[in-house]
Amino acid sequence: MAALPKRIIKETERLVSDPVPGITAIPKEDNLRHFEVFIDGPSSSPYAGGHFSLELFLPDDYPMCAPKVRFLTKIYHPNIDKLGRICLDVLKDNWSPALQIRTILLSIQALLGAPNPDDPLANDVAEDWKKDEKKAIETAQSWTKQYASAKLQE
Amino acid sequence: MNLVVRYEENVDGGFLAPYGTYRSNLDYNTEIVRNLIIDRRLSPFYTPLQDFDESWTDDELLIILSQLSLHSIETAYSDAEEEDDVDNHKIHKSTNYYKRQEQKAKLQSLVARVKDIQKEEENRYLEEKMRLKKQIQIQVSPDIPSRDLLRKLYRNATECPICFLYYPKYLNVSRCCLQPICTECFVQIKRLDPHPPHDDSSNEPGSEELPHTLISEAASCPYCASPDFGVTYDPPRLISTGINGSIKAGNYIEPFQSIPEDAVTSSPGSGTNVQPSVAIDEMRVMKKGAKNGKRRASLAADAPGVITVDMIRPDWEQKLISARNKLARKAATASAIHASNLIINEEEDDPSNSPRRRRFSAPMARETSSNRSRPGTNSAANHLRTVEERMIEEALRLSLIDEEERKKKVDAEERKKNQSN
Amino acid sequence: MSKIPRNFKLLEELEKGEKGLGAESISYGLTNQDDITMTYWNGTILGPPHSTHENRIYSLTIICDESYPDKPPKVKFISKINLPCVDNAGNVVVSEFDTLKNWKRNYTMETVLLELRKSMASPANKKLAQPAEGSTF
Repeated sequence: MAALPKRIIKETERLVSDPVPGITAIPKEDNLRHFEVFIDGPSSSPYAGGHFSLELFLPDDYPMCAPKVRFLTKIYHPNIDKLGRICLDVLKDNWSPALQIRTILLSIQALLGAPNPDDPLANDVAEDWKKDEKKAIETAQSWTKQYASAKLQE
Repeated sequence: MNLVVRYEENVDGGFLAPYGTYRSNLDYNTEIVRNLIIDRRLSPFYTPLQDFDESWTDDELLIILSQLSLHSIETAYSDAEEEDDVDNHKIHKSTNYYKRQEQKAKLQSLVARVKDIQKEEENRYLEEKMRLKKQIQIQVSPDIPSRDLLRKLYRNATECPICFLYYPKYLNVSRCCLQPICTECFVQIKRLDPHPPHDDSSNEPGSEELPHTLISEAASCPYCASPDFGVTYDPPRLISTGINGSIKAGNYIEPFQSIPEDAVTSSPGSGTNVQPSVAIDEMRVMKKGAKNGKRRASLAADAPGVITVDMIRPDWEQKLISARNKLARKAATASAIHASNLIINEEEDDPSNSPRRRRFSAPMARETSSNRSRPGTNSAANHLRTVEERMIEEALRLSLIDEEERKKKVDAEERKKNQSN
Repeated sequence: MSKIPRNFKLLEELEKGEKGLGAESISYGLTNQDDITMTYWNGTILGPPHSTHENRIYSLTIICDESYPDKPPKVKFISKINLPCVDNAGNVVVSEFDTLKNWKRNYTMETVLLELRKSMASPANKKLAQPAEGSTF
């Protein structure tokens, strides 16, 4: 295995030495480009109190292409599908090599705080969201309790 | 034209070919970049330091620098996990498959040769450094940078915000938001592959893409997302060495009582350009902005002195056209196949063909005809990959020609020397 | 050289299958759209022309467990088929099928399905008598 690029080493070190509140990202021992990630739901969102598990992978061309990220915890969100895939511009065409693992994870956390049913990935969720936002938020809350409760994972 | 780093080819203490931080997908125009570096319009490819500590003494710094190689062969030519060629598993391989295999083999042998040449260059560099070290009386080898030059360049190394490696502070800066970027990262930035426009509802599967609607957009600034990314470069006025420089790198002596370090350490937070919609974190990036004390304003993409991404990859237009043609051909092939299927079905119209069985003859006829006789039914992406491979191949090929010419020149000079002796 | 982890490799395969970017003679997809572990898959193979499989469609199940893609997937025919590498319960026998026997990490489910199809079309197998169309194991 070729040595890890300096950038990935430094990013990893900084994630550990200077963690972002509410976000952890730890590389797996068998593959240092593969991270185990946890994001806390923003307090003012339907995902508050949730402790969401994700995985992140840095492909060969990183940072010239975006990291790959997906949710492992079930989540009710118009921009996240049943397999945990995320619809976020900075993970696709708007990726910039000046962004980092931590900025991407912050963007995902921000997406939890600001669901966008007009650019959906999970069409059924987006429909519900548009039809009856109050009910959709309630569902998101109950899913958070059911699947993303921090106690569950301990 | 060159992807090989040679120590004689130096400009202001840097080189004309990349160090090899990135895997060698170097499809920029190497000729153009070499000339821009020689003209001091783009920062040279400096050898990066993996780490830097201000508390290092000059001696420590110089020891580390003296141990660096010209090029990082391992990272530059490491193999990626290769995607399996699906065609290999089909009953009938397309003609493209054989072309791709051929191309792959050619590319591999070219890479192997370039690697060999780089290794030779590395040895020549080592030998020259040894000679310099041992011949205590002869302190100067013209193309091995003097201690003064190295100290001057690397004493206040700065981190490139993209690769996180340390370089002499003379880096390119973005035209729009004045953020530094090393040349090695700059040549990696390019347009996205031609793609259909965004906001149409092409999410539905099966919706045919219209060839003429494919678009290609200029790359945006990685820092502030301004369109038409470009950089400017302020060459260090007090260091002018190597090709087209005032002296050789080995002869550089730092002016006595060196001029007080100009106000490079700018006030932190002087840059305020934050990428919209994205929470850019603390970003040490933002701290650096001013250069040589004075801070220029943003420049337009077409302002003199600005080097844009398209300038070093002038083939983008050709790529777009070929992607469009590809798609158009694909559409034409599809309708031709459709038409021929109707004929086949009529021909096969014997009584044993139950209607239910016939239902599947269309897709099959399509498959066999596309595999056997159609050289161009692979996806546009596939095609682009070959275009890119061809570009790299061309760059490598030209490197080799260049190398042969260089050798001839050296031989000729040797002969001349021998004759005159 | 970095190894792409299982889940991201499967996501790539899924995307290729969903968008129909792969070969036209086979298809595959998740058995359950919300199987976040991406373990259970369905595949189909369109019988190759000029063989006893012509015009038939074969259904299969593919199981990609935790060891995928370091280890090959488990492949089983649902549609009845007479093929040397398939046992009498429909399982594709690893030792009899070269693609699974000499598995490579960069192989995909598409590779497996295409190679099975190729084996159906091989001179040794293309004339084998086949069970009634539509019967299942």
